Amino acid sequence: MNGNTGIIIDVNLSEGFIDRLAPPEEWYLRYVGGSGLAAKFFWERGDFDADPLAPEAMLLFMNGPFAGLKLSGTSRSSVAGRSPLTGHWGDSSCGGYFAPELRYAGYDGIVITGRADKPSLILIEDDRISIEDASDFWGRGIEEVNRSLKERYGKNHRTLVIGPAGENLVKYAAILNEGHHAFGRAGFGAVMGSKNLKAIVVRATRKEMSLADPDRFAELRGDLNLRIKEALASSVMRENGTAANLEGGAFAGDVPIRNFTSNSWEEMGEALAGSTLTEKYLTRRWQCAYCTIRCKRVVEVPDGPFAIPEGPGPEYETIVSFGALIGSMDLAAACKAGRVCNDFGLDTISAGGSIAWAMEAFERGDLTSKDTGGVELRWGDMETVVETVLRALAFRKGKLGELLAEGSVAAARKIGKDSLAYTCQSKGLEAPMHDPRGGGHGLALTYAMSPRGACHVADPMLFIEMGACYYPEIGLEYELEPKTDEYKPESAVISVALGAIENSACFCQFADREVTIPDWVELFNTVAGYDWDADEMMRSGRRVFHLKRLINYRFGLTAADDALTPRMLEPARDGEPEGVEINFSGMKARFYALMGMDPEKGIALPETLEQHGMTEESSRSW
Amino acid sequence: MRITVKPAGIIKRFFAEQEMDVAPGLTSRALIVQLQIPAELKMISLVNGKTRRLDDPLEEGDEVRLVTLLTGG
Repeated sequence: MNGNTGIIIDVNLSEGFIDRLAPPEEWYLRYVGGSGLAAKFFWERGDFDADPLAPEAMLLFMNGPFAGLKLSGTSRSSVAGRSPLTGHWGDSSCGGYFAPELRYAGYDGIVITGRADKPSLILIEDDRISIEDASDFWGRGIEEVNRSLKERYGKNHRTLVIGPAGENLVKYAAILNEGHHAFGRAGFGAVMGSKNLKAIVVRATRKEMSLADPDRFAELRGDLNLRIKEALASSVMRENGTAANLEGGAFAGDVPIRNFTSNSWEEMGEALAGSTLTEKYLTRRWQCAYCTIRCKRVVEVPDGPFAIPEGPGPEYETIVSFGALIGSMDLAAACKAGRVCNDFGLDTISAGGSIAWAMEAFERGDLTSKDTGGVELRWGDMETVVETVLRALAFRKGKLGELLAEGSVAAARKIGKDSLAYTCQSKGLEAPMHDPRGGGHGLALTYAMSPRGACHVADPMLFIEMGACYYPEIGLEYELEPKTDEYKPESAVISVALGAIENSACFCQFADREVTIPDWVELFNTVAGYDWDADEMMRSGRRVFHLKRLINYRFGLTAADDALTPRMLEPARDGEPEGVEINFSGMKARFYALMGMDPEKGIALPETLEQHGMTEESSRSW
Repeated sequence: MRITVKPAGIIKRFFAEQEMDVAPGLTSRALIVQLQIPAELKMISLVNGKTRRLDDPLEEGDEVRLVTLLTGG
């Protein structure tokens, strides 16, 4: 096989069973890799009745075909399965250093079921795969365990580690690579915890790969790496990180403030901006393997109440989740909160989103200190967040920890009082830090259509609305006004297919903005020999999107779940988008029609599935 | 006519906040060209705090904040 290795590691932790699977080559051709191939695996072999935290639940790590090829932006992989946070399909993408190493070791992915009888880790060294005792790591933070694993096995062994949050089955627990890069969303750290799996460690001593057309690929890679490096967006992010333009977003109303109750806070933009982070706390720039963008940050907060030693710095999402969203513009506090979340293994978006909801509930009196075990939750009180709330969450300590460790939807259902209306989520996944009312109305549509729940990276709508995408070969040549519904469903049908390709190929959305459609097709053809044209590639993208939706349908989701909460759709209260309403239902209906989907069931119609060669999937769904 | 132009976020790298004398009826699109902001950035023009279409003419005394949504995630 070209591109991919064709081999997936199959581990059952209950039985201590390790095998190697060779999936049909057709699965790769039709579902690409990453979260798409994971969805196909789950569809074929997953236990749809199993609780996400039961031993039978399937946990999948999956590379894309470009892993390890030294092309900027392709050192990512996906984790996937049934999300313990949402109860339906979930996937999460992570950069860093794990994907290339797994590829060099000879594998495209790892499929894990069962539950080890004691804390364990999976060790992969080329052809040797073993399950090792990890009892001495249990209960310890990610930073320390990552360091200890490298001392034990070697500094070039690459790690995936969960923290106390994963062990304690916090529903939005993360998995970290090298203690810095996170599979953040949808709670797969808890799935690892439920399996008594503290870590996965991989090391390869070879780098052989078979490509369909290595010479042409090398030429294309050289060209793309240079274009990616020299792009204006790359230079901006290299200089000031992913929060480089936070201030621009704040003026436009894109940055959510105090649980999406406000879109206006003039001083906040500069206080939390990437340039401020550079000036005050940056010590080094960092990158995923082989990436020329270098958007990652290493920071130190030398003094003050939120002092932290040199180490991983926050991304845009973390800065806003632990900044504007909870009423703070203290950048040092956001750095510290991000560091604590990394060590405990918490998704910063769902943690920030759940805390923001709780702060509003407290302000309204829907949540009282009786419910929180005496903890007062106030907007912008970062000392309480960092010193008390995050620890309570990760260790499920006290009433507050137990309440918020389940995520904002479960917490709202528990306290009632119509507090579900002011959660900010779709399908149970807390929304990321772009408010569609100020950022772009198309994002409201794609948040709702994303199979895993509210997500800004399931597809590139965020970038499409900001004018960063022009793909005439696939019909995307609209000049969009972000804050209208004009051409948004038409753009979204292209976006969801392209997003499925990006997340199946495991290509970073910052890097692949420089990749044209002809480049994409040539990459697949020179690496994996798919012999695709643009139409066939997009058909694969739509196929992946439809399959994830079919999985969700089997979990009981319908079109009614393709929704945003009342809070996210109410007219903005202030700032630039004040008074503006999003035509959500109109966009949604048009999207289903254009995609050939059933407007009640929320899945593709039989004829649409037929057009995508999904006859078997259709017969199991209709 | 006289207007005030203000950059936000990464647009600060292209010009500083300033008052400008510009031709009557100048549009935001023409202003963006005049300020030599790269064409690859999709710009939003906030005129007195509200998004205005790029081809709408500006008026005497307007405060124009130029923003792009290029953003992280």
